[in-house]
Amino acid sequence: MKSCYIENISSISPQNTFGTEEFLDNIVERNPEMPYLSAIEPDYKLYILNAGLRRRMSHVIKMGVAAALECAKGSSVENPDAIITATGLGCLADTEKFLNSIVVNHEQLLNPTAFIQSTFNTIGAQIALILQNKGYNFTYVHRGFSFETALIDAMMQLTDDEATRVLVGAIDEITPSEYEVTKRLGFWRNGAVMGEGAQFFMLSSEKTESSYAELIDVHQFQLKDNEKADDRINSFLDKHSLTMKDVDLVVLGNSGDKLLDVPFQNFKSEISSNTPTAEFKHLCGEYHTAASFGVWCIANILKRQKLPFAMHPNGKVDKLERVLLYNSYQNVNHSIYLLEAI
Amino acid sequence: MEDLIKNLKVQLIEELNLEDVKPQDIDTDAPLFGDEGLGLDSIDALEIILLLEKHYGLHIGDPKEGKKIFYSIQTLADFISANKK
Repeated sequence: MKSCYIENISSISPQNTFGTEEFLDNIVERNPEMPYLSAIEPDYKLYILNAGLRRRMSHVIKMGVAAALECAKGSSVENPDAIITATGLGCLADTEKFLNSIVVNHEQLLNPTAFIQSTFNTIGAQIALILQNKGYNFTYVHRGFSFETALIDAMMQLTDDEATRVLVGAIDEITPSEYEVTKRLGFWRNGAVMGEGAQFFMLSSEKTESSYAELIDVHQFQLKDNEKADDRINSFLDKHSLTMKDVDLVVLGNSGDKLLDVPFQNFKSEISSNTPTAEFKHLCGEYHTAASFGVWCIANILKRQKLPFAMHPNGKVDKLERVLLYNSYQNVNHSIYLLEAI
Repeated sequence: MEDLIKNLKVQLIEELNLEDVKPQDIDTDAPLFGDEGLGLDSIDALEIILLLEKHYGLHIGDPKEGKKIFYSIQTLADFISANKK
């Protein structure tokens, strides 16, 4: 069975992560006037050259397409065998625009553009159109499991020899109305901050000199009553003949929500104090596919052999060979990722 | 007629999200579609049909007439002023 290497990465996030050699050196704090962490957007004209295409694209489509094209451009082969995208809520602004026009115009005179662009697979389709890619093209919309499912599919494409290079990414956007609705549902009441972003990865079955890391495995699960995440994480490691002692760093996807982060607190209390932990959601915010930002961070950590202060302010790390990511969305969708240095 | 032309240009820019285009950049007599002029396409044509219905209460009865009516800002304005109730 073939392996799965991360050949190139890109990210548009609330931090300076796009088109820069920096790696979380200068942290962008949340604008105190904004209740959420908005992505820092590049000049899209430099990345999406066709003005006709660009003017129809909403914020989320531009983020996704620009991140994907940048990731593909920096890879050894620009055109992959497969394009797989993941999104929790898809092109939300266009969906809202279309649904609003249904109400305002009494189900008549509906603008075609918002409808066409509102579908979940718009981003994957636009990437394929621009790259003239006629390969496997799939979009996963599984709420808090969207990115994990996309990644599992990408790994299967590579390990089963269906593809040698897969462009896989995750995209989610904030809209003011989404924020208001989730706020009313109590999502941001206990310390978590909403975020958005687009992360893309060129996965390859071949290792190159510029590869970032090897993606060993991804596992997604839900916890039954009284079940602890530690048991699932230990079984996951056991499957790879490993224990927590073999892990150099644990990256935690806790959102900052005092109530929902209980599994993380339990997990931290179970692992030895010799195993360093780092966090990332204070940098990107919480959203359905925020784990992709965690994977982007780990790929950088393993390639650069550097753990940014912003992720781990309180300690030293002896070595960075094997990193485990434990993520959870709303304490419903839990996932574990294992990555190793090349 | 001048006001109508000015309004049409503003509405086109807004409805079609024409980036970096100002009303004064649009040549009133230049073709709206194809490589010359604004370079609009078939989805834009649908948006213009909606614009005519929404803002002027007009619809194009004979689709064959569309090509002539949609040729330029001037032909659109002529159609509106000739048919507006």
